[in-house]
Amino acid sequence: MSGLLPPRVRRSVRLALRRPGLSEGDVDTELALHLELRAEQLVAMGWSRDDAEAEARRRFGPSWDDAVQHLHKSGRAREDRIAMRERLDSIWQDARYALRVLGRAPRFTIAAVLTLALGMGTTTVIYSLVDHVVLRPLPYRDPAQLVLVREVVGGLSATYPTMPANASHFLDWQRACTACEGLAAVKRSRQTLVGRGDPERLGAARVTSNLFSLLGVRPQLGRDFREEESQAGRDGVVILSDDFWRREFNADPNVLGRVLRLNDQPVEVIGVMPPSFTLPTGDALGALVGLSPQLDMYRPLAFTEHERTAQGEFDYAVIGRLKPGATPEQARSQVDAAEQRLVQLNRGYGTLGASLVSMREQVVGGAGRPLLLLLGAVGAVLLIVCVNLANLSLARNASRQHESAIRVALGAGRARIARLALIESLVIALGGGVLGLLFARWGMRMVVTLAPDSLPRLSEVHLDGRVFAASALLTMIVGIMVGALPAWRAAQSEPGESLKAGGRTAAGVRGVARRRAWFIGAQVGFTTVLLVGAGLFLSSFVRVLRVERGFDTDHVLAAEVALPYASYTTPEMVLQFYDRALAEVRTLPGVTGAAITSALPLEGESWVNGIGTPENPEKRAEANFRFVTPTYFAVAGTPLRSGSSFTEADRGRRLVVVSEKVARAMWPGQGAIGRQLTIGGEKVAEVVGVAADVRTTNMEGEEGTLIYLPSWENPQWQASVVVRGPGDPAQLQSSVRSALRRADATVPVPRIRTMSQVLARTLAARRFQLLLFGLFALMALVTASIGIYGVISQSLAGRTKEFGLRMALGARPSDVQGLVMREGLTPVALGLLAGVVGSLLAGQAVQGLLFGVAPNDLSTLLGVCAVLGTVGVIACAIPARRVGTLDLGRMLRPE
Amino acid sequence: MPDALAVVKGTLDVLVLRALGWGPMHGFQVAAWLESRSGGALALDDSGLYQSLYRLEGRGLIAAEWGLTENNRKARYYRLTPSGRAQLKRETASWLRYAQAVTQILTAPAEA
Repeated sequence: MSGLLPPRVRRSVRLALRRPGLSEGDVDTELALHLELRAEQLVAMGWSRDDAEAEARRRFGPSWDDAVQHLHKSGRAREDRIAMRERLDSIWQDARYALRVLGRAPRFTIAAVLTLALGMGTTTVIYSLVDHVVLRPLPYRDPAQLVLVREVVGGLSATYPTMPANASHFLDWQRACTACEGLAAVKRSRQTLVGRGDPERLGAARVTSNLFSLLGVRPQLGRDFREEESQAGRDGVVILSDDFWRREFNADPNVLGRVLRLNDQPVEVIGVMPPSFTLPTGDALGALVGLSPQLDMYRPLAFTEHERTAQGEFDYAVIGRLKPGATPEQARSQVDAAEQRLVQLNRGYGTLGASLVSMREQVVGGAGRPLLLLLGAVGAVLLIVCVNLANLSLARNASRQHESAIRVALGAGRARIARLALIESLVIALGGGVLGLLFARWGMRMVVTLAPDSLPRLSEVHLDGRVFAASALLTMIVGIMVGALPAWRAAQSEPGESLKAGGRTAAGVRGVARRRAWFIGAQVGFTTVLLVGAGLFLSSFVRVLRVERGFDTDHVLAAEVALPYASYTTPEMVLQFYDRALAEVRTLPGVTGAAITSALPLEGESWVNGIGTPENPEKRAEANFRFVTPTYFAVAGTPLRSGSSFTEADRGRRLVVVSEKVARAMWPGQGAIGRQLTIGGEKVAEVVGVAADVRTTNMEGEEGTLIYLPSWENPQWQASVVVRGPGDPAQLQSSVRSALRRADATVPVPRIRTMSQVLARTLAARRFQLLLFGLFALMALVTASIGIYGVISQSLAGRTKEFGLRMALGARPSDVQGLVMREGLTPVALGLLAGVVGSLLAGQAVQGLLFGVAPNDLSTLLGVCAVLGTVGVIACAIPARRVGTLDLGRMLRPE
Repeated sequence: MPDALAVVKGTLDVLVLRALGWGPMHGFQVAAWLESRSGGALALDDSGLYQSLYRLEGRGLIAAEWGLTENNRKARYYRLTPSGRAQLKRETASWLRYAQAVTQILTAPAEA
């Protein structure tokens, strides 16, 4: 500090602290005395005067001037240290004083700390989500250099702008992309583990041997894949996830070298990944990638002959690392050039192209906005809480104005008084912050459980040092926000004014009134924006629920089955299992029907192929194929709009049921029944039924373009058994599981869910957003209404005499009440207006998150105005009513 | 002062504290006290003494105020603060332990 402040200022600071200071002159005085006394001592011992004086200086070292300079410096250092200590001491004193004062007002303190803790706890939770999901870099080496490469496939690009890569294309790119340090591929995989209790189906990924080194991650135990392990026949190795290793092997380090039976092959465990390692699951690496939500293990990706040659299969998420200095555009054009060479070599391809986005953009992209919106919402709640507390503190300080004035009169500095007020609010904020962290710990667990699995990087979310630091910073900011105004006001206290009896001046009252109006207006404004947001999300949610589903959610259960390829080698065997399983399930009590489908509604698009009509070759479309047993429609509750399903008797005939959308597209305005449909350009099938539209990925997109073929056309190893019963389908779960075990105990049944659970999964993201936003809006509404009530009550408390006078001069109680209502409701109305304008401006931000409702939806705006208006009227009316019931005599009596 | 011992770094502070343990003194009094107590065996640098006083004051172990000497000259008097007194006790104990240990090693009879 000595360097920052000129000596005069330092001196004045010192004077204010009333401590005898030590300037350089003081050091000189002290040293002069020393020299004198030393010389006297030496003279007494017989030295000559001159020698004695020289010796006295010599004893300070070889150079007297250096010694003096040095001592001046340490004198200053001492001053600074003392000043610092005294400041800390007095702050500590003030903090203890603040604690005592707060202890004397426990109700205020508890309310303040609790509301702040709630506000800050929720803010911490949401910030932590935003931080982990959006702000932090991906947990890989140099994540900025990582990109995802995808293909643009002509003919499919209307439905899927980009697709995962084809295996042979990927192998081509590895050679072509010289701007990349390397390219790695990931493909979803299911591994069935046998020999350790019940057969278990595990989430896995097949990855090229260079993936981990490309990402810059090493196994915590054992070794990485070797290059030769990407060759078929040498790929009998597996690297486990940390989670699976702990769950299945109790973190046994001797797991290395163990041989597991995976998909009926012996596979050796060679490594365990570190706990921090995850791959973005689901479709986070791009549409149609579909990694399982939980990755238990990684197998080397040894391309099979089929995979290497299949031209129509696009399954691989391709991750690339750009060389330092290389631009994404260079890499993209190199891959694109490779694509064009492929197109020239194979005429049948149609067009191909390359698309390249940064990995971060792909993984985090869509999740950012909803989370930032939530952060904004929770921030607004915290702001309302702070505004309220600032007002409460002001009111408290107003009643203590007298005390402050006396202190000022007795000589306490204004700065000291202001600091006292600020420290008081910092103490409250600190309490709120600490308690808030406890709330946050608990809230975090809840939020992670509630969060939809579509939220990327959820597994990375937890409270840590970074979040902790952010929350400490927040505490400081909140403390200052709450305390600044009261501190400023306290410093303004004029001893003369305030010590006069009554102590109210007209100007003071007017200023107070204006401040109250601002408080009310600001709270109402923020609350309006939050309520409008919540209202829009609510009506979106309701509209999504109202979408025609095309299947029954109340009485249907779906059990996934995964037939082992090793024991089910032919389609006939699969069909035999279907028959056995259906026969077993149908005998169960409480079951009225059972059927098989290759894919459930809302569980994604699979098996895409082209369809057309023989009479009009121009009419082509991409459709989603489902392979179902004949009773599927009745069991799933998908109504047939016309025609009927195929029956067992139809085996051998090419029959098809189409969805309404297909019928509309192919034969608009004409009957579809009996029409011919071409599939994949060659096969022709006859339409026997038109089924209600069903959505394939979520309730918000378009209806799927669905083609239902009899399951015997193409029996699927992975399928779902759909079961219908008149009661609650959840009750059937265990009996269905044991029926399937009776059909074949070696067939894993990874999941049994009711269709309402399937539906809930697709609504999870929207429900999450609505739940949190609604919660924040409710918090805002409650806080704001209490705030308005508090502000109005306060404004009345000091004005009984004024009202008494007005009534003595002829005003009726209702006039006075009207006055109070007007004073309260004017800022409410203005705040509402500002809030509505604010929501209209903020509408852009939510546009993409709404469904079936516009951001400026009139009924939502009106509804919010009605709710807030009512709350405002009630919050003003309660205190106003009290004024009307006061006794005139008592009002005018001197205090 | 022939062959006076240089004061081991860090021990000056505890010596100053010890001196002030007797009561408030100004700088020269502290110097004179130390010289007489050591019988001239310690080479005391007066500059170092004032550095030590300022350092101790900065750490709050001693406090100072202006006063007058018996001859009515303005002098700065230093006294121990409670934390200075505690520090003196701690430092004395640890110094004695240290000195004892060193002495014991140095004076042990040579092993046969």
